[in-house]
Amino acid sequence: MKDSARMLNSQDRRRFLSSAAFASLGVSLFPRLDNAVVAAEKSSPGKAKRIIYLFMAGGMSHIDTFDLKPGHENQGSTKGIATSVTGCQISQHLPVLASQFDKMAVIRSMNTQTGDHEAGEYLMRTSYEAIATERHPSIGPWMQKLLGRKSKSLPDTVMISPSGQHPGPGFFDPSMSPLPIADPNRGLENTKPPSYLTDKSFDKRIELINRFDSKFQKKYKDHGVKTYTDLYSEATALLASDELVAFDLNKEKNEDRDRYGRDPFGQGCLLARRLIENNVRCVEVTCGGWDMHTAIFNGNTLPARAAMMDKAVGNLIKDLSERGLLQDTLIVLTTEFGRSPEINYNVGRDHHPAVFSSMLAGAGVRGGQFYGASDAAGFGVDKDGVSPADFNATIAKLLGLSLEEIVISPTGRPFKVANEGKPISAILS
Amino acid sequence: MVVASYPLGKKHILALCLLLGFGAASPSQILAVQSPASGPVKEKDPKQVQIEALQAQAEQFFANKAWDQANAICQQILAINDKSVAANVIRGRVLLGKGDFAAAVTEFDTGLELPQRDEYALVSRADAYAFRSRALYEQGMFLKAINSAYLGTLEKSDHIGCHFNRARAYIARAEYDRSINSLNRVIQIDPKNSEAYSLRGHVYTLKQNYDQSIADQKKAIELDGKNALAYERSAVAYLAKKDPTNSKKDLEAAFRIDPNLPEALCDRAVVFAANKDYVRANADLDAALNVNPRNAQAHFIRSKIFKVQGNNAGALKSLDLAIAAGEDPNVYCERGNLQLELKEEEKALSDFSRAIELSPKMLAAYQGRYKANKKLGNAEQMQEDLLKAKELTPAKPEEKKKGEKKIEPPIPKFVAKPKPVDPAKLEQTIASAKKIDSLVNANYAKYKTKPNNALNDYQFVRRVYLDATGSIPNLRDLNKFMISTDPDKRSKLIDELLSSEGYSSHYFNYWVDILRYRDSLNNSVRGEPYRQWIKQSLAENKTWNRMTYEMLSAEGLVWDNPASGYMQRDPGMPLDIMNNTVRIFLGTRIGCAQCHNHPFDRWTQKEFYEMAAFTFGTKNSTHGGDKRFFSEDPAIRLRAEYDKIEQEEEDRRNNGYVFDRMISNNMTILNDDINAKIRLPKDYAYDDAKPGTVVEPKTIFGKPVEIKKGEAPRKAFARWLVNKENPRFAKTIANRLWKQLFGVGQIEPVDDMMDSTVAENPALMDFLESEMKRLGFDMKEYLRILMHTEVYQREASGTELVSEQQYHFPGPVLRRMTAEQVWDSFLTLTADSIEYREQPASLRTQAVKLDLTKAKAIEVVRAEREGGKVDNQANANKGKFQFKGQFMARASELPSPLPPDHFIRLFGQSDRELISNSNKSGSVPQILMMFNGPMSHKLLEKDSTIYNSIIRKKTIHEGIRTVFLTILNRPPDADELALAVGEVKEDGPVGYGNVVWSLLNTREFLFIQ
Repeated sequence: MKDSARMLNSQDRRRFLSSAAFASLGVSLFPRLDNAVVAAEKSSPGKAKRIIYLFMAGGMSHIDTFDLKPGHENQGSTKGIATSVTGCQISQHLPVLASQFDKMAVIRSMNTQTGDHEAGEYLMRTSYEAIATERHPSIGPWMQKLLGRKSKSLPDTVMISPSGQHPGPGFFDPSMSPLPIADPNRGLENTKPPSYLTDKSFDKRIELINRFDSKFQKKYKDHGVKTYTDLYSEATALLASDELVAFDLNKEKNEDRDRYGRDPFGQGCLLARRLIENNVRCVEVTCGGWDMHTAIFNGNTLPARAAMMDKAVGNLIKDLSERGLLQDTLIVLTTEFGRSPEINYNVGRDHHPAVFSSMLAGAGVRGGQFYGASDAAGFGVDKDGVSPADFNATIAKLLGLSLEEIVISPTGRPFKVANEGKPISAILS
Repeated sequence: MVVASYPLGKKHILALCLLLGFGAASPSQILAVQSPASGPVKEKDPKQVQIEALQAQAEQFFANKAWDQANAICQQILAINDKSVAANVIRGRVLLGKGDFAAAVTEFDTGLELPQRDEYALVSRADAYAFRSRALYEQGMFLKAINSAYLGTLEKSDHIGCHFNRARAYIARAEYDRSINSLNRVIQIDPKNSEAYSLRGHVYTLKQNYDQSIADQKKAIELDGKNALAYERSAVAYLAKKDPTNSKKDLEAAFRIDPNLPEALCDRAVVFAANKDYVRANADLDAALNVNPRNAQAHFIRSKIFKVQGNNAGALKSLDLAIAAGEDPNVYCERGNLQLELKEEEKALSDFSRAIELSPKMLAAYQGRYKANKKLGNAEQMQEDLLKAKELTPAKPEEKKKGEKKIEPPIPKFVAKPKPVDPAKLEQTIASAKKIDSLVNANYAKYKTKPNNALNDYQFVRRVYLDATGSIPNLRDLNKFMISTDPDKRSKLIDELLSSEGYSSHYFNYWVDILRYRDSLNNSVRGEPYRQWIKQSLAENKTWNRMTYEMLSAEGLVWDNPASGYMQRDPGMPLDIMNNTVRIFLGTRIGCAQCHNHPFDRWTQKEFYEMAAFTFGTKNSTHGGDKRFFSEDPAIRLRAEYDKIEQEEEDRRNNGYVFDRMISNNMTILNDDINAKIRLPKDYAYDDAKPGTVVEPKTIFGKPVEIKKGEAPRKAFARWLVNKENPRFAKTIANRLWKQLFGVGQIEPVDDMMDSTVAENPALMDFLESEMKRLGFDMKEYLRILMHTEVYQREASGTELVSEQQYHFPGPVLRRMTAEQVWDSFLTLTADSIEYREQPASLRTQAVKLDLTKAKAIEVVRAEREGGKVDNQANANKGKFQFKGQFMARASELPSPLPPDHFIRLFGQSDRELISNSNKSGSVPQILMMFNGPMSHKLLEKDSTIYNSIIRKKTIHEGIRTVFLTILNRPPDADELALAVGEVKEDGPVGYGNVVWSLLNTREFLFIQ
C-alpha cells in the first residue's frame, strides 16, 4: 500500500528499510527469518560450531606473554619456557598454556592505530572504527544473524563480566543481545524463587497470571503482546528445564573450580566450558587488569595476572580437548593493544598498538605455530602484519560465516562480518 | 639468600616521656631480618649461586664489624660478574656501618646506575635502595629516605627492608598512618615478623592507641620471646594507660632478657625522674650511655632532669649532645623552647625551622616558631606560622550527649523547579484540541474508520500519569481523582501533572535517549552540568527553539555553559556531529551522503560536506599554546611549579597523572576555529568538484544562511535551524511529540523525512506544525493541547497494525511501557515518595574549576582532591538508598548509561551510543527479573507501599480491591475478585503475595491501554 513504512514499529521499520535498500542497491539478500522466531540452524561449512572469545582488557603485554625477546634490554625480568612444541617458547608465567601449545596458533604481528582502550576494544570486537552514528555488532550476534538462532531456550551469546563498552548486538535486532552475566559465581540471575515458594505454588502463580490476564489478551491481539506471552512460556520452560544447571558452577567439583582459579576470570572460563557443553554457541569472557603502567614485574602485577590467565585458559583448552569438544570449538584470546617494549620510569609499560599478540586454538586451527613476527625490539611488525579485520576474518572463516555477505544497517549502510579483512590461510588447517 | 639489616628508630620520641612531662628519644638497634623465600624453586644460574654464597659470608663480616674483610668479598663478586650491583651494596653497607652515611649514599647511587635488570639484579637494586634509605635517614633526610625505599619496592614489591625503612622514616615525619600501612605490608609478606608487630605497636602508642599497641607487643613477644624491646614498648603503653603494675612487670621482663637495654634504662630513668629520684635516674642514663655514648634519648632525658633542677646551661649542653648524636625534630623543638626562655630568639627560630624541615607537620614546632617570630617582630612569618598551627591542630571530637542523635546535615539535592502551565491559556487549549479532533474525524469519515471507545476514568488516570510523569499513579492519587465529582477533573489533572516535577523527569528520559547523553560526555568532560541543564530546561518549560539554539551555539566549559554538553558528546567527529544534528532536530537523514550521494533522498555528498562545514571548525578543547585563551602556556608553568612541591615520590607520580588531567579538564573549552576549512574527501568521485576541494558552508534546504563577519559559522547555522521559516524544525518536534502520546507519528519514521514524505493526515500535520509555531515552541502547552483531545482520551487500538494498511488514529496504539516507566512504576509501588535526587553539579564545579591563568600548582592538586571528596560524598549519599544491591531512585536520577544487566537496561533502555537506541522488546532475562528480581521481592516485603495499603483493610474483599487498584489502577471484576479472594482464603498472606506477583506479571500491567 501507499505508505507502508509509516506505521511500522521500529523493528519492523528496520527490516523494511533493509530490504528496500537491497532492492535498490541490487545486492543479494539472504532470506532472513524474524529473529525472535527460532530458525533452524544452518549447517555451518566451518569447522567450528562454537566459539569462546576471551578478551584481555587493558592491553596485554605481548613481550611478557607470547612474544618474548630474550637477551634484549626491553625484556625485563620475564623469562621464557619451553612448550609442547620444540623450539617454541612462551613466557615462564604460562606453564599450562605451554603444555597446550601444540593446539594453539599465536599471532605475533597484530597491529592497529589506536592507543585508546575503548576505541581499541571496539575495533577488535567489530572490525570497524567506532563512529557516533552507527553501532557495529560483535561476533556472537553476527553468528546469530548469519546462521540463525541455535538454542531454543538458552541465548546464543553469553557474555561474562563484560565491560560497559561492549558493542553487543550493534544495529541488529535487540533480541540478539548477548546475555550478560556479571558474576560467574552467581550464574544466571533471578532464577531462584524465594524460599517459601514451592514448585506447586510457582505453577499456581503462572496459572494466576494467565487467568487474570485473559481478558486483556483477548482484547489486545497486538504483536507485542503475543511476543510477551510467548516469552513468558519460554521463561517458565527455562526455569523448569535442565539447561539451567549450565549456569550453576556449584555443580562442578571443588578441585576443578580450584584448577581454573577462584578469580572471576578463572570461574568465567569454567562457566564458559559448561555453557559450551550445553549448546550455547558463543561465550565471551573478559579479564580486566592488564593496564600495567606501574611496577609491571612485581609479583602481584604481571606475574599474577598472567598466572590467572594461564590457569583459566590452559585448563579450558585441556578440558575441551580431553572431552573431544575442541575439534568443533574455537577459542580466541585477544586484547585491544600490546604494551610498550621500553620499560617506563615507573617500571611499567604503556599502551602500544604498533604490534601485539593474539591467540587462536581449537577447531580448524593449525596449532603449534607462531604466525607473523615483531621486530627485534618488539616495537613494530616485522613480518605478516595482521589487522583486527584480518583476525576477525580468520575467526569468521573458521566459524563458516560468509565474509562477503552484506548486511544493511537501519541507517542504510552496508556492513560485513569482518569488514574488508582477509583470513590468514596459514592458520586454517 | 639476601640478609638485610634494619636499624630501628632512635629519632622519634616516646609517648611515655611526653606523658610524664619529659621528652625522650627512642631506641636504636640493629636487627637482622631474613627475606622469605619467594617464587617457585627453579634451577639457579651457577654464577648466581656463587655470588649468593659470598653475600652470606659478607653477612658474617658485617655482624662482626669486620669491614675490610667484607670489602674484600666485593672483589670476589666482581670477578664473577663485573657489573654486579651486589658488590656496591656490600661496599655501601660497610660505609654505613662505619657511619659514613653520605659516602654510603654515593656508593649505592653508583650501583644503581649499572644497567643490569635481570631478576637477581632487581633484588640487589632493591637492597641498594633499602640501605640507601637508611643512610639518608641517618642524615635526617626522611623524605628522601621514604622515596628511596619506595623506589626499592618498584624493583621488588615484597622487599621487607624497603617497607620497613619506609615505615621508620614515616615515624620520623609523624606520618603514623602511612607508617602503619608500610608495616602492614611487612606483616603481610612475613606474618612471623616480630619486629614489625612491635614497631607497629610503637606507632599505635604514638597515636595514643595503647590497647592496640599492647596487642601488637603481645603478638611480637609470642613470635619472639626474646624481644626485649617489645616488653619495653608494652611497658610504655601500660604506663600511658595508667597501669603501673603491668608496666613494671613488662619493664622487668625486658631487663631479664637484656639488663643493658638502653631503651629500658631510659624508661626507668624517666620513672625515677618523675619520682624526683634524680640520683638513680642519672645512674640509669649513665648505664645507657655506657652502651653507646651517642644515645640521643639518654641525653635528652638528662636535659630534662637538668631543666627540672633549674640548670639551664646543663640542659642546653645535653640537648647539644643529643643533636650531635642524631638530628631529631623533637629535640630541636625542645632546644628551641629552651632558647626562648634564655631570650636567644634567633637561635630558637633556627631550631624550630630545622624541626619543621625535618617534620613538616609538627604542630609544636610551628607554635614555637610563632612565639620566636612574635618576639622578633616578624609579623608576616608570625601570621603564617599561626595559620599553619591552626591547620594542624586536631579537631576536638564533638561532644555527644547521651541519647542525643547525631543530626546529619541534609543531603544536597538538585531539584528542577517546574513552571506550571498557564491557566489563562486553557480556553485556547480546548479550542485547539477541538480543531485537532475535527481534523481527525474528517479522516475517519474519509477512510471509514471506527473510533475506539472513550477511556473510562480509571484508564484515563493511568494513561495520563504515565504520559505526563512516567509512572503509574499511587493509590492515594488515584482515589483522589476517582472521588472527585468535578466535571473538569480530567483537564485539571492534565494541568496538574504537566506542572509537576514528574514531567521533567519523564521527558528527561525521553530526550537523553535521543541526545545520547552520557555522564562521561567524552574522556575529559563530565556530563552532570549538562544533565541538570536538560532537566531544568524541561521543568521551566524553556521553549524548544531556545533549548536547541543554546545546545547548538554554546561555547566554553561545560560547567560555565552546560548546553555545550551537546557538542562535547562527539569530539573529533565533525561529520557525524552534523549527521546526528540534522537527524535529531530536523528529522532528516543525510548520513548516507557522508560517503556517497544519498541513494533514496536527493542529498549529494557535496551537500553533506557543505553542511558539515558549519561545525567543522568546532573544537571541544583548547590547549596551552592557544593565544586566544592563554598568553603563556599554563600547563608548562604549572608543571614546573608542581615539580617543586615537596611531596613523596610515590605521591608525585600518582598525582602527576591526575594533575595533568585536571589542567586538561579545565581546558575543555568548546570553541570555534573560524578559519578551519573542510575539504572534500580524497576519493570524491563526482563531477561537480575535484577531490580535496575546500567546501564553503551552505544549508541543504530553506533560506540561505547569513554568516556575520567574525562569527563562527556554527552560530549562523543554529540561528537558521531554529527559525520558524525552517521547513522541518517545527514539523519535526510537532511530529515527535505527537508520537509520544499516540505511539505512532503522523510521519514515520520521525527522523527520516524526505521531500516526498506525506503525513497520514496532511491537514492535521499542517495544523500541528502551525500550532507549534503559534505556541513559540512551548512543548508543555503543545502536549497539553494533545492531551485535551478526544482522540487521545480514547482506548488504545487492540488489533495488530498490518503494515500495508494505514492507521487513522481511532485512538492511540497499544504501547509497552518504556523501560523507565516500568522502573518508576515499580518505585511507585514500593515507596510512597522517592526522595533521592542527584547531587547539584555546582558542588563539583566549585571544587574543580580553576582559573588557569592564575592558579598555583598546589591549587590544582587541591582541586583534584576536593573533586574526589565531592564524588565520594555523592556515592555515600546514594548508598543510603540501596535495597538488595538496587539503587532505589527514579530512572532520571540514575547513572547514564547503566550497566547491561541493570533492570532498566534489560527492559530496553538505550546504551546511549545511538540516537533513540532504546527498545521495547521482551527477553527471557527480563521476565526472570520480573519473576524473581529484587524489585519484585521489594514489592512483597513488609513496609512496601502496597503491603501497607493491604494490611489496613479489614476484609479480604477490600484487600483484593486495593491490590487491583494499586497495580492495575482499576477495581477487579466479579470473576477476578472471586479468583483472588479464593486464593487468599486458601493460602493466607502467601495468597496475597501470589495475587500481587501475578498481577505484576500480566501484560495488562506492562502495556498502556
